[in-house]
Amino acid sequence: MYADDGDVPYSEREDWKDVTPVPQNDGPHPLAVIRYPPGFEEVHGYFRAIQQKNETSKRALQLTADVIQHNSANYTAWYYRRRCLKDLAIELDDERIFTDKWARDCPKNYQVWYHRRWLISEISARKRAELSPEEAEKAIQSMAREELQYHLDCMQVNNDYKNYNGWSHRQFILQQFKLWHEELPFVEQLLREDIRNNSAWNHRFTVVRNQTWPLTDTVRTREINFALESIRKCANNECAWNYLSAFLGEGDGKVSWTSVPEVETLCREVLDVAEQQHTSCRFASQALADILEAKGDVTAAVAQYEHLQEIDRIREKYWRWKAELLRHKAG
Amino acid sequence: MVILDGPETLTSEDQHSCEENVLAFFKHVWLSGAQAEICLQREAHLAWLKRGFTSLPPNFAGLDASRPWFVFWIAHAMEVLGDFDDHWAPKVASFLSHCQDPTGGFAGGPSQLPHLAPTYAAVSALMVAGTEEAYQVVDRAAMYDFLMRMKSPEGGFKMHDEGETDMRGCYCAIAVASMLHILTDELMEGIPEYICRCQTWEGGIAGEEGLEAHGGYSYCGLATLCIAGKADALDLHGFLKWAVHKQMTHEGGFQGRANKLVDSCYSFWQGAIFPLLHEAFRQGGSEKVPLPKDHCWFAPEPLQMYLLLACQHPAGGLRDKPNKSADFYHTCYALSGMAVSQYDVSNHTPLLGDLGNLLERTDIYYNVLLEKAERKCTFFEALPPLAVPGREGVGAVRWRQHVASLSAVEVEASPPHQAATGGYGGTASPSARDQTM
Ligand SMILES: [Zn+2]
Repeated sequence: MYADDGDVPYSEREDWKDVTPVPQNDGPHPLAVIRYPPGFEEVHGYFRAIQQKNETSKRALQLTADVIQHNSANYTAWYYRRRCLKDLAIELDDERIFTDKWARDCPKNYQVWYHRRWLISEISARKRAELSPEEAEKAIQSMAREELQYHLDCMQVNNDYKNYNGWSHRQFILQQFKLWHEELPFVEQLLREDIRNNSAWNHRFTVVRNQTWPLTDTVRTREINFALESIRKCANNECAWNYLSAFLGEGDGKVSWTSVPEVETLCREVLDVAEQQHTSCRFASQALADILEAKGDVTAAVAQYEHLQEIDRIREKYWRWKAELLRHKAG
Repeated sequence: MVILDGPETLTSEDQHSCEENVLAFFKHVWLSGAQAEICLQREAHLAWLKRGFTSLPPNFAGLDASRPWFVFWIAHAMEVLGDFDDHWAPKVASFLSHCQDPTGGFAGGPSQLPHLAPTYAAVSALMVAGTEEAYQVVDRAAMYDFLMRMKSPEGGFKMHDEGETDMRGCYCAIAVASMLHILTDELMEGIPEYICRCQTWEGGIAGEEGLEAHGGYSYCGLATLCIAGKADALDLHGFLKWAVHKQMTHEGGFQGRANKLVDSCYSFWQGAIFPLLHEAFRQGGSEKVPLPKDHCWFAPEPLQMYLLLACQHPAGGLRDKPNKSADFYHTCYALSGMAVSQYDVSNHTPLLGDLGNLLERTDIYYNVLLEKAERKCTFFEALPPLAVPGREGVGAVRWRQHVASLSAVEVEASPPHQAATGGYGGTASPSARDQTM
């Protein structure tokens, strides 16, 4: 279904004879003028012509592939491509293969990932319309799992486990096809490989939020223990501390900083080890300040903030202000 | 047993090598005593910007759907450097008028589909141009229809017809409406709730619900609410707590997310969060929160040190980080971030190096010059109201009034010598750094 006469200019193609390309109109004072590479202007000239004719056809579909080849961020071409795919009621399995390469090679491209998201929704809608409910569900579930695998493949191929658009796709699949309950082992595997993987930490929270909300005490305790264990293994990891404080303090799903004594014990242990090694840990000091404040021990909490001003000079002003704020609240 | 630094992983390896690259630039300056090098290379940047403004090489073909962005990035970088020449204004107006869609909004180039991102870029660039001719380009009635059409049932804005919805959409739509004085309650409807749903467990804002707090989306979400004077909807203390930790101890610049690398574009996205938060607290009533009077929590000098020493490309332009090439996006946002960091909340200028490094003051809500944000008012206020009468966002207006009520800007240049030995992690000697790692 794609061009096999790729090297023949459109102007010499028999099946494009009826179309007159439309040049780009930048006006008399163009700015940011791109010196287009060979072939770029011709393909876009034909694309503008097809848009003007409002033609959705096989050749228009093929043309969008050429436009995307020249510029995969051309959202107009992706949009037009979806219009063609819908109007022509084209089988969409090939289209998934078409996007495979784009999402893998241009992982930061919004258009490709959005197109893929649309495809998955469209394919599942069609399966539901065409197949019996059981068959449709089976086919959709297997497609969803392939998508999750595809996301993992993309991360591995690019050796980038933090690509924002990729994670967005994964969460869309989990949400759309109700697969959150199977997700925790995947997160744990990623965190075993890289305990500092911020995206995996975020994903863990979102998985928990979608599995159990409002939080039960059991799940909260499990998550707090997971954070504490991770801190033991690598205390200078901001993500683990952030994760811990997602369950402690004031607010939805949280319990008081004083309600889990192990947290204070660990903070003090980390600070002792740091002192022995003539260094410091701002996250442990910050958590300890929160605990001391929750206990109502303003003097000790302020002392932590004063310590933070010394050891974390880049945030000195913030820590000084936190101390002032605390004194102000205490009256 | 507690281990401070667990086994090396992909994240820590990337961090160490990035840090070493950055510190090599700092070390060079302290060892050679070449403090004159803490100097903004204005002429080189301007020459490079001017070349790109007119013509871009073939490898930019992949950015053909972002041409209004180039106009904004370059025009704004020039104005921040104090050298946006008047002769550009008619060209900006003419070219962008060819990117405007008859149904409202601007596209990435002529005959493309209107899209919220180039719409924001185009309207901002027209504000930078700052002439009546430029303001007149925008069909405000069609623009309002376009913005309303982009409202998504989930609460945010779609980027284009049948397009994706994410946090960029909110900022682009609301900033544009506010700059054009057509912001209405119906346009804002559901937006605070949507943005609050995207404030994450870490405190910052994500691109979509469930995703990770991120500098760019955090600016977008916060600035949207601040423009409209509705930032109270967020947990501002949690936001601040997240944001302060994004300034890198050794590098001085900002990362976009926890455990990611420093990147100069976050100098603006993260750096502007602090004055926005400060103003949000102030507008919310500072009797509740005693605000710092002379700073907004982050450290401006180390940020400027990162930008001036590690991010300037010798051939002009600024880069994300050492060993990358310069590009217009990073040049625009590195300079924008530097400008934000040079004007504090009491109109003092925490400036690294000499006066030659001082940039023009910007509006933290729109990221155009403060003076340009003010200049447009006379024109747009005099226009007849649209069917649904709109206005500029009250938060943005109150901030400018507050800034104007403060005493004139006082310039305080801190000698580079003092800053370079100031004792921040970012300027510690490599051996001291190894001990604290
Ligand atoms: Zn960047």
